[in-house]
Amino acid sequence: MRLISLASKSMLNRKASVLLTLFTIAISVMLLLTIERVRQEAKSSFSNTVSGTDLIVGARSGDIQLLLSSVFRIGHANNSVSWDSYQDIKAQRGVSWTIPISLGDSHKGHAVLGTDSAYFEHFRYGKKQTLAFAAGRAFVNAQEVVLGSDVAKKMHYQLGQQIVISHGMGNTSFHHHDDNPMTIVGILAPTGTPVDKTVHVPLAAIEAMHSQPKSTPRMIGKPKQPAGHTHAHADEHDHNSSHDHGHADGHEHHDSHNHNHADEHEHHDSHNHGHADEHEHHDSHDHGHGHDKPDTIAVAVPAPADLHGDLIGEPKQITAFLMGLDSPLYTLQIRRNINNYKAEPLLAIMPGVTLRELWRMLGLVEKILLLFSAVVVLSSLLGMLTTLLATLNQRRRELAILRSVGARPRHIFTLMSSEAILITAAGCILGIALFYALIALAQGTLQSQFGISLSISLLSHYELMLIGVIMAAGTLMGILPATRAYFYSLSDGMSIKL
Amino acid sequence: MLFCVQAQAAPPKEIFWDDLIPKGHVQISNQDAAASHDGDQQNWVQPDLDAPVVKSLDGKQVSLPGFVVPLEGDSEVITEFLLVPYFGACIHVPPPPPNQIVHVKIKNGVPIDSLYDAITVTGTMKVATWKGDLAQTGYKMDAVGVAPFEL
Repeated sequence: MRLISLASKSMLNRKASVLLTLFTIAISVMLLLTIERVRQEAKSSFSNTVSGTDLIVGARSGDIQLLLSSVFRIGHANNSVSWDSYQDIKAQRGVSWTIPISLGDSHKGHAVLGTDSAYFEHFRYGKKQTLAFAAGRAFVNAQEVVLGSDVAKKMHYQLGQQIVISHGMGNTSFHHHDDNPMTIVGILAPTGTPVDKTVHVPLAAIEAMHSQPKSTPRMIGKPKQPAGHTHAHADEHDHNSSHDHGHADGHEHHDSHNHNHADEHEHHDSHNHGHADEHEHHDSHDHGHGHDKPDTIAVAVPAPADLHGDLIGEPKQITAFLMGLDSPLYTLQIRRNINNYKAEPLLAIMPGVTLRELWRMLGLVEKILLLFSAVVVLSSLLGMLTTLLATLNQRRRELAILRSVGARPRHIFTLMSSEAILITAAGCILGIALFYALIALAQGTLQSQFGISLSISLLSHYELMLIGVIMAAGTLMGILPATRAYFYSLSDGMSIKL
Repeated sequence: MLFCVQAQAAPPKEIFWDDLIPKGHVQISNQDAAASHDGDQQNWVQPDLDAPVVKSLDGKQVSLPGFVVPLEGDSEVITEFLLVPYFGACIHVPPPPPNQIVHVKIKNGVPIDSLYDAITVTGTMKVATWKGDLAQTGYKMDAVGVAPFEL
C-alpha cells in the first residue's frame, strides 16, 4: 500500500504535531482502559468475596448494610443477633451449616473476626473455593488465632508468635487486652478478599475480651460478674456490640500488668474451659504474662491434639451469621421465616440478590465514570481533528503536487484519512502499553489499600470493543479533513497565495 | 440478554408453572400458609409440606418462563439462580411452594441485566431428591439457553 507509506512519510515530516496528537490519544486511551479495568476488577472482587452462602442473617437493618458489614467489613452493624436466636435458627430443619461471625474488635487496624471452626470448613469465596492454609492450621482453643495472608505479610508475623487483640475498631486503641496474648497457629493463603485482611479468633476469645474486668487475670469462662463488669447486652438490644463496653473499667487496665500467677492457679479448679490445656501450652512456650509486645521469636506451633478447648464459650450475641441450606429451594421460605422471627427482629439476605441491588445503586456512578473517560477520549480525538485541519493548510502544496503527478482525488482522500487512522492506531497501541505499565505500578497499592486485585491479563472483549469504538471514531474524524482535501482543486494548491 | 444456540434436534417442550403441579393436586394458597403462624409452629422449610412434583418431567427438554433470583455468579454473569413464577419472590411476598421453584444452573452463566424482566429458560429438567431431615424433592434444571420472555 503505497499510500500508507506515503502517509507515514508525510507524517514523519511533521513529527512534532503528530507526536503530540498521538500522545494525547494514548493518554486518553490509557485513562479509559484503566478506569474500566479498575471498575470491573472492583466489581468482580466484590462478587468473589462470598460464594456458596445461601443466607446472611443479622440484626434488622438494611440489606446492603448487612452485606457490607458482615462480609466486606465496610461500616459496622448497629446491632447484634442473640446467641439464643442463633442456636434456635441453626437447629431448624433444612439448615445444613451456619458460621457465626462476631466483628468489632481490631488488631493494629486489622479487623478481628470471632467465629468457630465451621468458618474454615464451610466458608467459600470466588467460585465456591474453600479457604486454604498457607501455613499452620485452624484454631482449636481460645488462645489461638488464624491470620489472613495480608495481615501476616504486613506485620511480619510468623507462626507461634503471640499477639494481643485490642478493643474496638481503629488503628490504635487505649484499651488493649494485654492479659490475653494469643498464639498465631495458622496463616491463610491469599484469597483476594477481605479475608486476607482479617484476624480470625475463636468466639470464646472475643467473649473473654469483652466480659473481663480488666484488673484481674483473664479467665476463660469466668462466671459472669454483676453489671458493671460485664455488659448486659442481652437486655440491651440497641447497643452496638463493637463499641463502648466496659470503658468504665478501662482505666484500671493499666494496673493489670503484674499478674499474679498464683492467683490464676487458684481460679483454675473452678473452671474447666480448656484451662488445663492452656497451661500445658504455657509450659511448652515459656512466655511471660502481661507483656505488651508479642514475642519476636517464632516457635513451633504445637500439635492440636492436646490443646482442644472450648471455641465458643458462652457468647450472648454475635454480629451476624452465614447459613447454608440443604437445598437452595428452601432459601426463600427460610429467609421469610427469619425475617418474621418472633423472638427478635432479624434480617436475612441472599448475598446474590443484595449484591445486584448494590450494583444497581452504583450503576449511576459507574456510568458517570464511563462518561468521563469517554469525554476525555472524544476531546483527544477532537484534538487530532484540529491538528489535521490545521496542517491541511500547510499541506495544500504537497497535495497539489501529488495531484499533478497523477493522484486522483480519491487517492488524496485515502491519504488524508489513512493518516488519521494511523495516528489513532498508534495512539491506541501506545495507550495500551501505558495502561499495562500503570497497572503494573498501581497493582500493589490497590491491593493493599483497597483490596482490589488487578491482574495483568489480556484485554477482555469489552476492552477490545472500546478500542474498536475509538478506532472507528478516529476514522470518522479523519474523513472530515480528507473530504476537504478531496475537493481542493489542483489549481488551489498550485497558485501562490499572497 | 444472551441467546444461546440451541443444539438439540427436538425443540424443547414449552411448559408453564401449572405443569409443575401434579394433576388434581390442590396447592395450598401461599397467602394462607404465610399468614399468622406462631414462631414455634411454623414450618421453616416450606408452607406446603405436601407439594408433590411431576415425576414425568424428569429428563425432559423444556422451556419455562419466569423471574430470576440470583444465587451464584460473578460481576458479569449469573451461573446459578432460582426461577420463580412471579417477581418479588426474593423480596417481600410469600415465597412460592417448592414445586413452584426451579433451581437452575447454567454452565457459562448468563448476563441478567434486570431482575424485573421475565426470561424464558430452556434446558433439561431434573426431579431431584435430597436428604434433609425428611426426604425432599424439587425441580432442578441444567439450562442451555436463556432468552427474554416475549408475550
